[in-house]
Amino acid sequence: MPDQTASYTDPLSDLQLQESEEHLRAIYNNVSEGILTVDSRCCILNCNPAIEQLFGYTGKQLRGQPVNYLIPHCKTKAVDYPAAKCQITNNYQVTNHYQDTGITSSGKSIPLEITVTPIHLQGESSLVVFVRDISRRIEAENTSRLRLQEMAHSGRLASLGEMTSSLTHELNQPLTAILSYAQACQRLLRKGKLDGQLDNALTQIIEQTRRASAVSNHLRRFIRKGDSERSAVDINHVMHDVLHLIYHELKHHHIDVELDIHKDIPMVLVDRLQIEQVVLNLLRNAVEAIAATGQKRRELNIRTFKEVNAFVQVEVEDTGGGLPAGDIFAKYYSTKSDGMGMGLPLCRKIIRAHGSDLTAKNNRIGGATFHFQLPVEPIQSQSSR
Amino acid sequence: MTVESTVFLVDDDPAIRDSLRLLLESEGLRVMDFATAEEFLSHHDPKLPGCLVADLQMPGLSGLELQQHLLGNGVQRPMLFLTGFGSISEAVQAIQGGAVDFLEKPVDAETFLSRVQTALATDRQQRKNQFRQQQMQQQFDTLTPREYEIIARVAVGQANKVIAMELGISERTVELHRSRGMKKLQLRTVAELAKHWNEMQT
Repeated sequence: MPDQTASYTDPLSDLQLQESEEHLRAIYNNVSEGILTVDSRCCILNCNPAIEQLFGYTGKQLRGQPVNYLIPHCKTKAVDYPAAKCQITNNYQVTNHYQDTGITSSGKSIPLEITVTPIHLQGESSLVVFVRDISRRIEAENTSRLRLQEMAHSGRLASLGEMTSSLTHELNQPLTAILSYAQACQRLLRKGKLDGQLDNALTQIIEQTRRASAVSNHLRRFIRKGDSERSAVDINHVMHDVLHLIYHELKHHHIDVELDIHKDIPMVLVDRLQIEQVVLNLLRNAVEAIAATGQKRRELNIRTFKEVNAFVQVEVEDTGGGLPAGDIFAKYYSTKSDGMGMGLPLCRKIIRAHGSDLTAKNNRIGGATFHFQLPVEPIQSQSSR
Repeated sequence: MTVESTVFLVDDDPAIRDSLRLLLESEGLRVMDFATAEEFLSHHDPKLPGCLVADLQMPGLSGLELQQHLLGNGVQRPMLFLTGFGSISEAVQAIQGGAVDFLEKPVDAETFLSRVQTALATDRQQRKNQFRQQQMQQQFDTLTPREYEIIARVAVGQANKVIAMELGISERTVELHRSRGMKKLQLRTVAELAKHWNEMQT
């Protein structure tokens, strides 16, 4: 066995020890984080006043209780930290950091951030558990997430408002066909001339009804007010959904769409509604930029690919007039007569909430490209889906 | 004038084309359909009687542009436009450009077919007038220069006496050329002559 004492500092004098203990006790008693010492059987040996205050028990009541009494799902089993490891960790401490939920004496749940450090006490592997109440932080996060969600929803309704005419056209086309097929059949039937045409007309009526309901489903899915929730999303599906919505606008302005998307792209962990909103905004901006130029080359290139880091890159490139002067991401900045200048600032906010950034640059051969990245979903949850 | 009228249908949506064709055929009408204005123009024979039914909002050449193109080439074919929601201003432009009508999609069969019949009737009337005018022109071409000179003056209401004085010939000579001219034109009254003369001047 290697001589471990070699790495220790010189033995302390009694006075020094006393001072050190006093110092540590002052910290132990006054720190706002709760500190629990847990033995190898997972029972509480000791706790500081912050624990008493947080959970509403006295130290006396807690001593000897299993740690799960306070934190029901606590993973602090001393056996999880092999004794051998604990021995070397007198200086290099293994720590385990995670979030959990605690239950107070009045039965209230509180969100906790827990740090576990193994120590060696009287020849036994024990643990020191640091407990931090994070309810305020979680509350603040929820508030800002809700606010973003509200903004995304109003942004979405505003975009749809602008798209009313083209969406109505998309619905009107199949309805026109259905009505005409049905009325034609009725007329032929009354004249006793309906024979070969009926089968085709009915097939078409069914087909066109499906077409109309697909449009309305896309619309309904888009307009819904979902919870702000991150889930595993195929970014290429988002692209296709949004392209469906703006299909008429693309056609109307004779814009060719080139999709350079990787089929085996990993799922991204995002708020789908919000990302749809970003994509819709960017694509509609691109359409408007291209429509505003009288150019022959009218292309919208959409690229998605996996980056070397844990991100998927999304690029939207247009052949419009390029970026205008000024900060396009500034609030109330707009080059459109009816624009409110809220689209891009909101998009950037959403992308930043996803841990990346939305940027834009002019292309060398004209037009502009917007890009952003989205976090790849960790593999574990992908397999559990 | 025995050629059957055709409805020329231009819409980029195959389902709309197919369903409107069935509707028109249920009325016993002859239909030719095209997916784009360009396709229609490349096959278009202005001599064929019939009317045009076109979507206003089409990719490529739009309904309005198609109308401008036809008007620019002196084609008088009556046009009926179909519009979607929110394109009233374009529809108004189409009407100002001489379209017979516009209908909002989805169109009701009765309304649609009656408007198509109106457009076809307009086309038939236009062709009849055109034919009559051509015939009249041919008849005018048979007049001698002297006859033409005198007929032209009669047509705008000059009396024989005035014509005789101005041309320095006898009233009897005027009367002779005038009656020969009227016979060649197969017209009996000055009123008829004046009407055809005005038509030919436009």
